[in-house]
Amino acid sequence: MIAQSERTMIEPLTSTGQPGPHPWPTHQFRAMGSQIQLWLDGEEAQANPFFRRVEVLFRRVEARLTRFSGHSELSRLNAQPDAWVPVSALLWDVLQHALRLARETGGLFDPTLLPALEAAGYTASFEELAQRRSAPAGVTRPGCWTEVRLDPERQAVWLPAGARLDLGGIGKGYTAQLAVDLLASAGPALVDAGGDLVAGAAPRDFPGWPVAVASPGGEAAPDLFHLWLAQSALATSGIDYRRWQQAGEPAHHLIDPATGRPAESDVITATVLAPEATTAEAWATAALIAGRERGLALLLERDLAGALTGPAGRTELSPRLAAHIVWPVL
Amino acid sequence: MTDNRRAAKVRAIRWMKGVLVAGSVAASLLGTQLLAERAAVETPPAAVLPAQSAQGPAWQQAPSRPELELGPVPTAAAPLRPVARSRSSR
Repeated sequence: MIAQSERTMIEPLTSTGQPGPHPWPTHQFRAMGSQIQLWLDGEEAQANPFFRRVEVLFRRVEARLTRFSGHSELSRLNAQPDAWVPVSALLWDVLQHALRLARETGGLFDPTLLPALEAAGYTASFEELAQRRSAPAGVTRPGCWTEVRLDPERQAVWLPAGARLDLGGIGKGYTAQLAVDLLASAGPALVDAGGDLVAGAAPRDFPGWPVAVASPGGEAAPDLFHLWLAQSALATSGIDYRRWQQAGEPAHHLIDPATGRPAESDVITATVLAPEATTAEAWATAALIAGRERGLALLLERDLAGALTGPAGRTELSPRLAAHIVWPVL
Repeated sequence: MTDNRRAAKVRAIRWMKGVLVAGSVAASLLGTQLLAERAAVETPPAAVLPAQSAQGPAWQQAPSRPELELGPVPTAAAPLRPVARSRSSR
Protein backbone atom coordinates (compact mmCIF):
# COMPACT_ATOMS: atom_id res chain seq x y z
CA MET A 1 0.00 0.00 0.00
CA ILE A 2 1.09 3.57 -0.53
CA ALA A 3 2.06 5.49 2.57
CA GLN A 4 0.27 8.78 3.22
CA SER A 5 3.50 10.79 2.89
CA GLU A 6 4.24 9.28 -0.50
CA ARG A 7 0.91 10.34 -1.90
CA THR A 8 1.98 13.97 -1.78
CA MET A 9 4.74 13.27 -4.33
CA ILE A 10 2.40 13.13 -7.31
CA GLU A 11 3.74 14.99 -10.32
CA PRO A 12 2.84 14.98 -14.00
CA LEU A 13 4.97 12.47 -15.81
CA THR A 14 6.69 15.08 -17.99
CA SER A 15 7.52 18.73 -17.56
CA THR A 16 4.92 19.65 -20.21
CA GLY A 17 2.19 17.82 -18.34
CA GLN A 18 1.77 15.49 -21.30
CA PRO A 19 2.16 11.79 -20.83
CA GLY A 20 5.64 10.62 -21.81
CA PRO A 21 6.89 7.15 -22.68
CA HIS A 22 7.22 4.74 -19.80
CA PRO A 23 10.88 4.01 -19.09
CA TRP A 24 10.50 0.42 -17.92
CA PRO A 25 11.40 -2.72 -19.91
CA THR A 26 8.32 -4.85 -20.58
CA HIS A 27 7.49 -8.31 -21.89
CA GLN A 28 4.18 -9.96 -22.79
CA PHE A 29 2.86 -13.40 -23.62
CA ARG A 30 -0.34 -15.45 -23.41
CA ALA A 31 -0.91 -17.95 -20.62
CA MET A 32 -3.88 -19.18 -18.56
CA GLY A 33 -6.26 -17.94 -21.26
CA SER A 34 -5.10 -14.37 -20.65
CA GLN A 35 -2.67 -11.77 -21.87
CA ILE A 36 0.17 -11.47 -19.35
CA GLN A 37 2.43 -8.41 -19.28
CA LEU A 38 5.43 -7.74 -17.05
CA TRP A 39 7.35 -4.57 -16.25
CA LEU A 40 10.63 -4.30 -14.38
CA ASP A 41 12.34 -1.15 -13.17
CA GLY A 42 15.84 -1.99 -14.36
CA GLU A 43 18.02 -2.37 -17.41
CA GLU A 44 16.63 -4.32 -20.38
CA ALA A 45 19.52 -6.77 -20.44
CA GLN A 46 19.04 -7.45 -16.75
CA ALA A 47 15.26 -7.79 -17.09
CA ASN A 48 15.08 -10.24 -20.01
CA PRO A 49 16.32 -13.39 -18.22
CA PHE A 50 13.83 -12.71 -15.40
CA PHE A 51 11.01 -12.19 -17.89
CA ARG A 52 11.79 -15.60 -19.41
CA ARG A 53 11.77 -17.22 -15.96
CA VAL A 54 8.36 -15.71 -15.23
CA GLU A 55 6.99 -16.98 -18.55
CA VAL A 56 8.20 -20.48 -17.65
CA LEU A 57 6.62 -20.09 -14.19
CA PHE A 58 3.20 -19.24 -15.68
CA ARG A 59 3.37 -22.19 -18.07
CA ARG A 60 4.35 -24.63 -15.32
CA VAL A 61 1.58 -23.50 -12.97
CA GLU A 62 -0.93 -23.54 -15.83
CA ALA A 63 0.05 -27.10 -16.71
CA ARG A 64 -0.73 -28.18 -13.14
CA LEU A 65 -3.86 -26.13 -12.45
CA THR A 66 -5.72 -25.96 -15.77
CA ARG A 67 -9.13 -27.61 -15.89
CA PHE A 68 -9.02 -27.71 -19.70
CA SER A 69 -6.55 -30.61 -19.83
CA GLY A 70 -7.37 -34.03 -18.46
CA HIS A 71 -3.65 -34.51 -17.74
CA SER A 72 -3.29 -31.61 -15.30
CA GLU A 73 -2.88 -32.33 -11.60
CA LEU A 74 -6.13 -30.47 -10.91
CA SER A 75 -8.07 -32.60 -13.41
CA ARG A 76 -6.64 -35.79 -11.90
CA LEU A 77 -7.76 -34.63 -8.44
CA ASN A 78 -11.21 -33.70 -9.77
CA ALA A 79 -11.50 -37.18 -11.29
CA GLN A 80 -11.08 -38.87 -7.88
CA PRO A 81 -13.96 -37.79 -5.62
CA ASP A 82 -14.57 -39.51 -2.32
CA ALA A 83 -10.89 -40.49 -1.96
CA TRP A 84 -7.77 -39.06 -0.33
CA VAL A 85 -5.45 -37.79 -3.08
CA PRO A 86 -1.89 -36.58 -2.28
CA VAL A 87 -1.16 -33.31 -4.10
CA SER A 88 1.86 -31.17 -4.91
CA ALA A 89 2.95 -28.28 -2.69
CA LEU A 90 1.67 -25.86 -5.36
CA LEU A 91 -1.86 -27.28 -5.56
CA TRP A 92 -1.96 -27.63 -1.78
CA ASP A 93 -1.03 -23.99 -1.27
CA VAL A 94 -3.48 -22.62 -3.87
CA LEU A 95 -6.26 -24.76 -2.42
CA GLN A 96 -5.48 -23.51 1.10
CA HIS A 97 -5.79 -19.93 -0.15
CA ALA A 98 -9.03 -20.76 -1.96
CA LEU A 99 -10.71 -22.44 1.03
CA ARG A 100 -9.61 -19.68 3.41
CA LEU A 101 -11.13 -17.08 1.09
CA ALA A 102 -14.31 -19.15 0.72
CA ARG A 103 -14.61 -19.01 4.51
CA GLU A 104 -13.86 -15.28 4.70
CA THR A 105 -16.38 -14.39 1.98
CA GLY A 106 -19.07 -16.59 3.53
CA GLY A 107 -18.99 -18.84 0.47
CA LEU A 108 -19.61 -16.06 -2.06
CA PHE A 109 -16.25 -17.03 -3.48
CA ASP A 110 -16.48 -20.79 -3.96
CA PRO A 111 -13.74 -22.86 -5.66
CA THR A 112 -15.94 -25.97 -5.96
CA LEU A 113 -18.31 -24.61 -8.60
CA LEU A 114 -16.78 -26.27 -11.65
CA PRO A 115 -19.85 -28.47 -12.31
CA ALA A 116 -22.07 -25.36 -12.24
CA LEU A 117 -19.65 -23.47 -14.47
CA GLU A 118 -19.73 -26.32 -16.99
CA ALA A 119 -23.52 -26.48 -16.73
CA ALA A 120 -23.52 -22.80 -17.71
CA GLY A 121 -21.52 -23.76 -20.81
CA TYR A 122 -17.96 -22.80 -19.83
CA THR A 123 -16.49 -26.13 -20.89
CA ALA A 124 -13.54 -24.97 -22.95
CA SER A 125 -11.04 -22.13 -22.84
CA PHE A 126 -12.70 -18.82 -23.59
CA GLU A 127 -10.94 -18.60 -26.96
CA GLU A 128 -12.48 -21.95 -28.00
CA LEU A 129 -15.81 -21.10 -26.44
CA ALA A 130 -16.15 -18.07 -28.69
CA GLN A 131 -16.18 -20.46 -31.68
CA ARG A 132 -18.98 -22.62 -30.28
CA ARG A 133 -22.70 -22.00 -30.44
CA SER A 134 -23.58 -23.94 -27.30
CA ALA A 135 -22.11 -26.48 -24.94
CA PRO A 136 -23.46 -29.55 -23.15
CA ALA A 137 -24.91 -29.03 -19.71
CA GLY A 138 -23.23 -30.65 -16.69
CA VAL A 139 -24.35 -31.59 -13.21
CA THR A 140 -24.87 -28.70 -10.81
CA ARG A 141 -23.89 -29.08 -7.16
CA PRO A 142 -22.83 -25.64 -5.94
CA GLY A 143 -21.59 -24.59 -2.54
CA CYS A 144 -19.99 -27.77 -1.20
CA TRP A 145 -16.62 -26.19 -0.40
CA THR A 146 -17.30 -26.80 3.31
CA GLU A 147 -17.13 -30.56 2.67
CA VAL A 148 -13.63 -30.47 1.14
CA ARG A 149 -11.18 -32.08 3.59
CA LEU A 150 -7.43 -31.51 3.86
CA ASP A 151 -4.88 -33.76 5.54
CA PRO A 152 -1.78 -31.66 6.28
CA GLU A 153 0.21 -34.72 7.43
CA ARG A 154 -0.04 -36.43 4.05
CA GLN A 155 -0.67 -33.18 2.08
CA ALA A 156 -3.73 -34.91 0.69
CA VAL A 157 -7.15 -33.64 -0.41
CA TRP A 158 -10.56 -35.32 -0.21
CA LEU A 159 -13.31 -34.00 -2.48
CA PRO A 160 -16.94 -34.93 -1.81
CA ALA A 161 -18.82 -36.62 -4.63
CA GLY A 162 -20.12 -34.04 -7.10
CA ALA A 163 -17.59 -31.37 -6.17
CA ARG A 164 -14.89 -30.43 -8.64
CA LEU A 165 -12.46 -27.55 -8.30
CA ASP A 166 -12.00 -24.56 -10.56
CA LEU A 167 -8.89 -22.62 -9.51
CA GLY A 168 -8.71 -20.50 -12.68
CA GLY A 169 -9.01 -16.96 -11.33
CA ILE A 170 -7.32 -17.54 -8.00
CA GLY A 171 -4.57 -19.61 -9.65
CA LYS A 172 -3.80 -16.73 -12.00
CA GLY A 173 -3.62 -14.25 -9.11
CA TYR A 174 -1.47 -16.66 -7.11
CA THR A 175 0.95 -17.02 -10.04
CA ALA A 176 1.09 -13.26 -10.63
CA GLN A 177 2.03 -12.82 -6.96
CA LEU A 178 4.76 -15.47 -7.32
CA ALA A 179 5.97 -13.65 -10.45
CA VAL A 180 6.30 -10.32 -8.63
CA ASP A 181 8.23 -12.05 -5.86
CA LEU A 182 10.52 -13.67 -8.44
CA LEU A 183 11.09 -10.37 -10.27
CA ALA A 184 11.74 -8.57 -6.97
CA SER A 185 15.25 -9.98 -6.87
CA ALA A 186 15.96 -7.98 -10.05
CA GLY A 187 14.05 -4.83 -9.10
CA PRO A 188 10.62 -3.29 -8.58
CA ALA A 189 8.07 -5.04 -10.81
CA LEU A 190 4.49 -4.94 -12.00
CA VAL A 191 2.53 -7.90 -13.41
CA ASP A 192 -0.70 -7.60 -15.38
CA ALA A 193 -2.34 -11.03 -15.51
CA GLY A 194 -5.28 -10.54 -17.83
CA GLY A 195 -6.45 -7.42 -16.02
CA ASP A 196 -5.44 -8.40 -12.48
CA LEU A 197 -2.52 -6.20 -11.45
CA VAL A 198 0.09 -7.14 -8.87
CA ALA A 199 2.84 -4.69 -7.89
CA GLY A 200 6.05 -5.09 -5.97
CA ALA A 201 8.03 -2.10 -4.75
CA ALA A 202 7.46 1.29 -6.39
CA PRO A 203 9.74 2.10 -9.31
CA ARG A 204 12.48 4.65 -8.69
CA ASP A 205 11.29 8.27 -8.50
CA PHE A 206 7.62 7.26 -8.42
CA PRO A 207 5.29 6.67 -5.48
CA GLY A 208 4.02 3.50 -7.17
CA TRP A 209 3.21 2.03 -10.56
CA PRO A 210 0.74 4.30 -12.40
CA VAL A 211 -2.32 2.14 -13.07
CA ALA A 212 -5.96 2.60 -13.97
CA VAL A 213 -9.22 0.80 -13.47
CA ALA A 214 -10.93 0.52 -16.84
CA SER A 215 -14.60 1.21 -17.43
CA PRO A 216 -16.67 -1.90 -18.15
CA GLY A 217 -16.97 -2.78 -21.80
CA GLY A 218 -15.01 -1.31 -24.67
CA GLU A 219 -11.50 -0.01 -24.85
CA ALA A 220 -12.76 3.42 -25.96
CA ALA A 221 -14.45 4.17 -22.65
CA PRO A 222 -12.53 6.50 -20.34
CA ASP A 223 -10.86 5.01 -17.29
CA LEU A 224 -12.86 5.00 -14.06
CA PHE A 225 -9.92 6.18 -11.97
CA HIS A 226 -6.13 6.15 -11.62
CA LEU A 227 -3.92 5.28 -8.67
CA TRP A 228 -0.33 4.44 -7.76
CA LEU A 229 0.08 0.74 -7.04
CA ALA A 230 2.89 -0.58 -4.83
CA GLN A 231 3.21 -3.74 -2.70
CA SER A 232 -0.43 -4.57 -3.42
CA ALA A 233 -2.81 -6.09 -5.94
CA LEU A 234 -5.79 -4.73 -7.85
CA ALA A 235 -8.29 -7.26 -9.21
CA THR A 236 -11.45 -6.70 -11.21
CA SER A 237 -14.22 -9.24 -11.69
CA GLY A 238 -16.79 -8.50 -14.34
CA ILE A 239 -19.61 -9.86 -16.41
CA ASP A 240 -18.82 -7.46 -19.27
CA TYR A 241 -16.38 -9.65 -21.19
CA ARG A 242 -16.50 -13.43 -20.62
CA ARG A 243 -20.07 -13.88 -21.84
CA TRP A 244 -21.66 -16.39 -24.19
CA GLN A 245 -25.01 -17.92 -25.15
CA GLN A 246 -26.17 -21.12 -23.45
CA ALA A 247 -29.44 -22.64 -24.74
CA GLY A 248 -30.37 -19.25 -26.16
CA GLU A 249 -29.79 -17.49 -22.84
CA PRO A 250 -26.91 -15.11 -22.09
CA ALA A 251 -24.43 -16.68 -19.66
CA HIS A 252 -21.19 -15.64 -17.97
CA HIS A 253 -18.46 -17.20 -15.83
CA LEU A 254 -19.36 -15.87 -12.37
CA ILE A 255 -21.58 -18.45 -10.71
CA ASP A 256 -23.84 -17.55 -7.80
CA PRO A 257 -23.23 -20.31 -5.21
CA ALA A 258 -26.81 -19.91 -3.97
CA THR A 259 -28.35 -20.85 -7.33
CA GLY A 260 -25.57 -22.63 -9.20
CA ARG A 261 -26.30 -20.37 -12.17
CA PRO A 262 -24.54 -17.30 -13.60
CA ALA A 263 -25.08 -14.53 -11.03
CA GLU A 264 -27.92 -12.14 -11.76
CA SER A 265 -26.09 -9.15 -10.34
CA ASP A 266 -26.74 -5.42 -10.67
CA VAL A 267 -22.96 -4.95 -10.61
CA ILE A 268 -21.12 -5.09 -13.94
CA THR A 269 -17.59 -4.90 -12.56
CA ALA A 270 -16.20 -5.08 -9.03
CA THR A 271 -12.63 -4.01 -8.23
CA VAL A 272 -10.76 -4.71 -5.01
CA LEU A 273 -7.35 -3.43 -3.88
CA ALA A 274 -5.68 -5.75 -1.34
CA PRO A 275 -2.21 -6.51 0.00
CA GLU A 276 -1.98 -9.66 -2.12
CA ALA A 277 -3.53 -11.01 -5.29
CA THR A 278 -5.67 -13.97 -4.18
CA THR A 279 -7.48 -11.81 -1.61
CA ALA A 280 -8.17 -9.10 -4.19
CA GLU A 281 -9.37 -11.69 -6.71
CA ALA A 282 -11.72 -13.52 -4.30
CA TRP A 283 -13.27 -10.37 -2.83
CA ALA A 284 -13.82 -8.82 -6.27
CA THR A 285 -15.74 -11.96 -7.27
CA ALA A 286 -17.64 -12.05 -3.96
CA ALA A 287 -18.67 -8.39 -4.17
CA LEU A 288 -19.95 -8.80 -7.71
CA ILE A 289 -21.98 -11.89 -6.87
CA ALA A 290 -23.37 -10.20 -3.75
CA GLY A 291 -24.79 -7.37 -5.86
CA ARG A 292 -24.62 -3.62 -5.31
CA GLU A 293 -26.28 -3.22 -1.93
CA ARG A 294 -24.85 -6.26 -0.16
CA GLY A 295 -21.50 -5.98 -1.96
CA LEU A 296 -21.05 -2.39 -0.86
CA ALA A 297 -22.10 -3.28 2.69
CA LEU A 298 -19.49 -6.08 2.74
CA LEU A 299 -16.75 -3.71 1.56
CA LEU A 300 -17.71 -1.12 4.18
CA GLU A 301 -18.13 -3.60 7.04
CA ARG A 302 -14.76 -5.21 6.38
CA ASP A 303 -13.04 -1.93 5.58
CA LEU A 304 -11.97 -3.27 2.19
CA ALA A 305 -10.75 -1.04 -0.64
CA GLY A 306 -13.24 -1.67 -3.42
CA ALA A 307 -15.37 -0.17 -6.18
CA LEU A 308 -18.59 -1.39 -7.76
CA THR A 309 -19.78 -0.22 -11.18
CA GLY A 310 -23.40 -0.68 -12.21
CA PRO A 311 -25.01 -0.97 -15.62
CA ALA A 312 -25.47 2.81 -16.01
CA GLY A 313 -21.76 3.39 -15.38
CA ARG A 314 -22.25 4.67 -11.84
CA THR A 315 -19.28 3.68 -9.68
CA GLU A 316 -19.38 3.51 -5.90
CA LEU A 317 -16.15 3.45 -3.92
CA SER A 318 -15.44 2.38 -0.38
CA PRO A 319 -13.65 5.12 1.57
CA ARG A 320 -10.61 2.84 1.86
CA LEU A 321 -10.23 2.81 -1.94
CA ALA A 322 -11.17 6.47 -2.39
CA ALA A 323 -8.14 7.35 -0.24
CA HIS A 324 -5.84 5.81 -2.88
CA ILE A 325 -7.29 7.47 -5.96
CA VAL A 326 -5.20 10.21 -7.53
CA TRP A 327 -7.48 10.98 -10.49
CA PRO A 328 -10.18 12.15 -10.79
CA VAL A 329 -9.80 14.48 -7.84
CA LEU A 330 -12.49 13.55 -5.33
CA MET B 1 -63.30 16.41 53.02
CA THR B 2 -62.88 12.79 51.98
CA ASP B 3 -64.09 13.69 48.47
CA ASN B 4 -61.55 16.54 48.28
CA ARG B 5 -58.73 14.19 49.34
CA ARG B 6 -59.84 11.59 46.82
CA ALA B 7 -59.95 14.22 44.04
CA ALA B 8 -56.47 15.47 44.98
CA LYS B 9 -55.16 11.90 44.90
CA VAL B 10 -56.66 11.30 41.43
CA ARG B 11 -55.10 14.58 40.15
CA ALA B 12 -51.70 13.55 41.56
CA ILE B 13 -51.90 10.13 39.90
CA ARG B 14 -52.91 11.72 36.57
CA TRP B 15 -50.01 14.18 36.85
CA MET B 16 -47.53 11.35 37.55
CA LYS B 17 -48.91 9.32 34.65
CA GLY B 18 -48.45 12.33 32.37
CA VAL B 19 -44.86 12.78 33.55
CA LEU B 20 -44.12 9.08 32.99
CA VAL B 21 -45.60 9.05 29.45
CA ALA B 22 -43.79 12.27 28.46
CA GLY B 23 -40.52 10.95 29.92
CA SER B 24 -40.90 7.67 28.13
CA VAL B 25 -41.54 9.39 24.78
CA ALA B 26 -38.57 11.73 25.29
CA ALA B 27 -36.25 8.84 26.23
CA SER B 28 -37.39 6.85 23.23
CA LEU B 29 -36.73 9.78 20.86
CA LEU B 30 -33.32 10.42 22.40
CA GLY B 31 -32.39 6.73 22.13
CA THR B 32 -33.42 6.60 18.48
CA GLN B 33 -31.29 9.65 17.73
CA LEU B 34 -28.28 8.21 19.57
CA LEU B 35 -28.61 4.93 17.68
CA ALA B 36 -28.84 6.80 14.36
CA GLU B 37 -25.73 8.84 15.21
CA ARG B 38 -23.84 5.66 16.17
CA ALA B 39 -24.89 3.92 12.95
CA ALA B 40 -23.72 6.92 10.94
CA VAL B 41 -20.30 6.74 12.61
CA GLU B 42 -19.97 2.96 12.23
CA THR B 43 -20.94 2.78 8.54
CA PRO B 44 -19.03 5.35 6.53
CA PRO B 45 -20.79 6.35 3.33
CA ALA B 46 -19.47 5.21 -0.02
CA ALA B 47 -18.10 7.77 -2.40
CA VAL B 48 -19.68 7.88 -5.82
CA LEU B 49 -17.98 8.46 -9.12
CA PRO B 50 -20.31 9.82 -11.78
CA ALA B 51 -20.86 7.73 -14.90
CA GLN B 52 -18.49 8.86 -17.64
CA SER B 53 -19.22 9.12 -21.32
CA ALA B 54 -17.36 6.87 -23.71
CA GLN B 55 -15.89 9.69 -25.80
CA GLY B 56 -12.28 10.76 -26.05
CA PRO B 57 -9.11 9.50 -24.44
CA ALA B 58 -9.16 9.09 -20.68
CA TRP B 59 -6.71 11.83 -19.79
CA GLN B 60 -8.54 14.49 -21.81
CA GLN B 61 -11.81 13.98 -19.96
CA ALA B 62 -12.59 16.59 -17.36
CA PRO B 63 -14.20 14.63 -14.55
CA SER B 64 -17.38 16.12 -13.21
CA ARG B 65 -17.74 16.66 -9.49
CA PRO B 66 -18.55 13.59 -7.41
CA GLU B 67 -21.67 13.49 -5.28
CA LEU B 68 -19.77 13.20 -2.03
CA GLU B 69 -16.62 14.91 -0.88
CA LEU B 70 -14.27 12.96 1.34
CA GLY B 71 -11.55 14.25 3.62
CA PRO B 72 -7.99 14.96 2.42
CA VAL B 73 -7.25 12.87 -0.66
CA PRO B 74 -4.27 12.76 -3.01
CA THR B 75 -4.67 14.85 -6.10
CA ALA B 76 -3.14 14.92 -9.56
CA ALA B 77 -3.05 17.99 -11.80
CA ALA B 78 -3.63 15.74 -14.79
CA PRO B 79 -4.53 12.09 -15.18
CA LEU B 80 -1.57 9.76 -14.88
CA ARG B 81 -0.52 7.87 -17.94
CA PRO B 82 -1.36 4.39 -16.70
CA VAL B 83 1.08 1.63 -17.53
CA ALA B 84 -1.63 -1.01 -17.02
CA ARG B 85 -5.38 -1.24 -16.50
CA SER B 86 -7.29 -3.47 -14.15
CA ARG B 87 -10.31 -4.96 -15.92
CA SER B 88 -12.36 -8.14 -15.95
CA SER B 89 -10.37 -11.15 -17.15
CA ARG B 90 -9.04 -10.87 -20.70
